[in-house]
Amino acid sequence: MEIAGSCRMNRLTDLEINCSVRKILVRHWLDLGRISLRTTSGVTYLSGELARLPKVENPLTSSTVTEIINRIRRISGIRRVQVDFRNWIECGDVWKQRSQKPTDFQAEAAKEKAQSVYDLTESQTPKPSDP
Amino acid sequence: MKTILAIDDDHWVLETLRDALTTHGYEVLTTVSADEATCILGEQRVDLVLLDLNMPGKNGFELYRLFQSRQPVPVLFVSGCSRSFSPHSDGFESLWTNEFAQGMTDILYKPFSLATLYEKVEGLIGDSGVVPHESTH
Repeated sequence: MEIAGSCRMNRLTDLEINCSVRKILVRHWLDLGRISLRTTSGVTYLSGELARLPKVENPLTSSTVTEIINRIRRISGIRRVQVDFRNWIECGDVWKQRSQKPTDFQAEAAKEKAQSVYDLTESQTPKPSDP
Repeated sequence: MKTILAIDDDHWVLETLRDALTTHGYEVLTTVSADEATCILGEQRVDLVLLDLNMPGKNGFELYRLFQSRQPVPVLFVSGCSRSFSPHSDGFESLWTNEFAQGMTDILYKPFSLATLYEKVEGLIGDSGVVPHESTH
């Protein structure tokens, strides 16, 4: 496997690109668990929710999101970056928070659970109280 | 064949992970024991570790730090509690700025779909190189 160690600076493989993208996300204290990332033939797809880790004080701003995406676009080997976040949208050169209420992560997870083949919910998950 | 080591104190979760990932052509080793996991990692090549955050006796973060100090390996944390990944958690800030910052670690929150599991695994180590056979589930 190529990615052990560190990401090389010359033209990167898809896995090395993913590694470089995660480095940028981590540098900005972004919650990796809410972001979906994959790279195929140099095209990087980002989706899900762009949000800080819980209890990180500085909220994400438009300029920070712009900086993050621009940094990702500059990674060597990336041909294109396709972004489809639920909570941020690019309008021209500016990233804006979507006007709808931020997605409730727990509600989204519950929806995903209903669609999943396997239910891997931990046993301590609170159950709705009986009427 | 790429080898994945899954560590979780829940046998059912381990069985599910093994079934799902074996179907996609990965070799999957499982253990409920942090000590056994440490032995396995010392003895054989593992391409990816799936690590439950809440293990009896040893916190997943401690185990993660131990693994990374010996032989850096891609890790996918599997957790039902997003709040644990917070700078307010004990020792997390240093883990985040050192180990996570290497770009070889990802997080998967429970509950999750198989599609999300495969995407996270493939994002870290690539596909198995084996054509998946149809799942019976």
